[in-house]
Amino acid sequence: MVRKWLYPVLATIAFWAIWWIVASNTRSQLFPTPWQTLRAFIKILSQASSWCQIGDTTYRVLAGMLIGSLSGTFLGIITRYSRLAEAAVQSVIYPLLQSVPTLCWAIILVLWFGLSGATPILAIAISVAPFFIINIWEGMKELDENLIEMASTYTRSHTRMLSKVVLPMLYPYIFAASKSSFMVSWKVVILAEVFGAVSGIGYMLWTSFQIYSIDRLFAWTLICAIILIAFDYGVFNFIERKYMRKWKPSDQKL
Amino acid sequence: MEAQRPEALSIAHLAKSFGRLSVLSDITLSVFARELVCVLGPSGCGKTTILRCIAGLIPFDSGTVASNGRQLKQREPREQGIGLIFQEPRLLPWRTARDNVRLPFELRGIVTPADDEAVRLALALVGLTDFASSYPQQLSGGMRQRLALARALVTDPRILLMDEPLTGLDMRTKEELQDEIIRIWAQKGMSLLWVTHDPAEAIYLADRIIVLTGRPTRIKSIIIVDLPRPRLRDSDAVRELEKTIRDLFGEDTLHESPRH
Repeated sequence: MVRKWLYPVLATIAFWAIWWIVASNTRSQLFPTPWQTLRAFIKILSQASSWCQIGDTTYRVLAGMLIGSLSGTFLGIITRYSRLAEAAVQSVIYPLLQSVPTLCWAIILVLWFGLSGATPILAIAISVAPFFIINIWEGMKELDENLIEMASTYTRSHTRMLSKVVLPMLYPYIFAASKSSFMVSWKVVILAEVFGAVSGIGYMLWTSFQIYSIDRLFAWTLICAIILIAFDYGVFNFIERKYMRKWKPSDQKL
Repeated sequence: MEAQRPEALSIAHLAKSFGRLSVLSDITLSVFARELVCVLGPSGCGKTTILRCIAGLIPFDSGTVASNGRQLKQREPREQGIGLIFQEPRLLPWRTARDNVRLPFELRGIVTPADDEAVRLALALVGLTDFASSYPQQLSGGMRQRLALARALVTDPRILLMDEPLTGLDMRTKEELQDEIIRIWAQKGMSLLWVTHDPAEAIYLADRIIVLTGRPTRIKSIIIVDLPRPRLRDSDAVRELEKTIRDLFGEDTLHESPRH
């Protein structure tokens, strides 16, 4: 029990120590020490406008995730019901989304939408949709046809079958897709905000860079990392522990 | 006397083939109101196929299926009160026992307070009231099949189709559930069409045993079991019936094939 906490704490201390040693020996404007970073960090967080930037970025991540997950899930599922859709998604939409670099999408989106909130949101949606498509496909290979047959003795409504039986069977896969695509979203949003928006954490990183305020740049990077880790532990691990367990032992044998 | 009872279910000249393999040929049978009929045949002989045709899960090639004098369409959910219990419980692992029993209502549309009351009663009927909030994986094999029974009973079917629902359970649980189902059957006044490969089970349960013979499946014989309930599991009469049935098949064909 002690070791479970001890080693991560030691590793964290070691990280800060190495940073401090390297930075204080470099004595460069370009490599602030942990203290300088922390001071900038506290200063940033004490300004109300910073919270607006954090809020903007978080909103874009969530909105982009929402659009990307809904459209990805939809595109994944319709391949089960329509041959045409299957061909379209498998041979055009999925490869297109998957193979075009995010940066290219971001540039195109800036051209189309300019420096607005839409650019990062759509960049995220485009980047995460393939995660959902591929996970839904995986999930549909594992669908328990016995349960579907059982349910079909009660209804012929595709919608109710989907919402009560098929979609819940896919929840673990949708969850897995959400978890991995959330990490990607944070990387994409920062990138897209750097040159495609006039607010948000990415924009603040960019302005810090332009005014050579490297301690602020480090501090914003730290904020990014903290938010990401907090979501991963606080939200996804929590959901996994609390809700995803029920799905795992789908032992239907007598 | 039986001739005067109304037919709950009647199947006439049912035939079904999968590709070139003829599985059922000219099956004609009926189940009277409040009757318990067992369909007995070797495994893989198409017993399940009969039930699936009746339940509307698969289309059949020719023949008719009628319930209470109304002809049923091929391949559609049976809203006329026919329930089907599968060999496996087929429960949704992410739903509690209560919500599993509630599923048929949710699949049919809006759930009314009366439906919720029916869920409560169905759980009570199979003795799972205390486990309403448990998940299927927390229940034993026998309890899971009870839960499947509750789910089938909740919509109050007049006819219940049973596809070897007790296969794979240990002997004690199996006998317990047989008694339980007989109790519920009598209490609810349903008709039961129960498929099994076990002659002893058929003799213990049935008013009438329809003996099938293999591929393509035809009806070989119909045996009326005129024993009072509650029945003994072993008596001279039971042994005699069992011998009659075994003679119909030849000793070995009734045993489960090893691949099961």
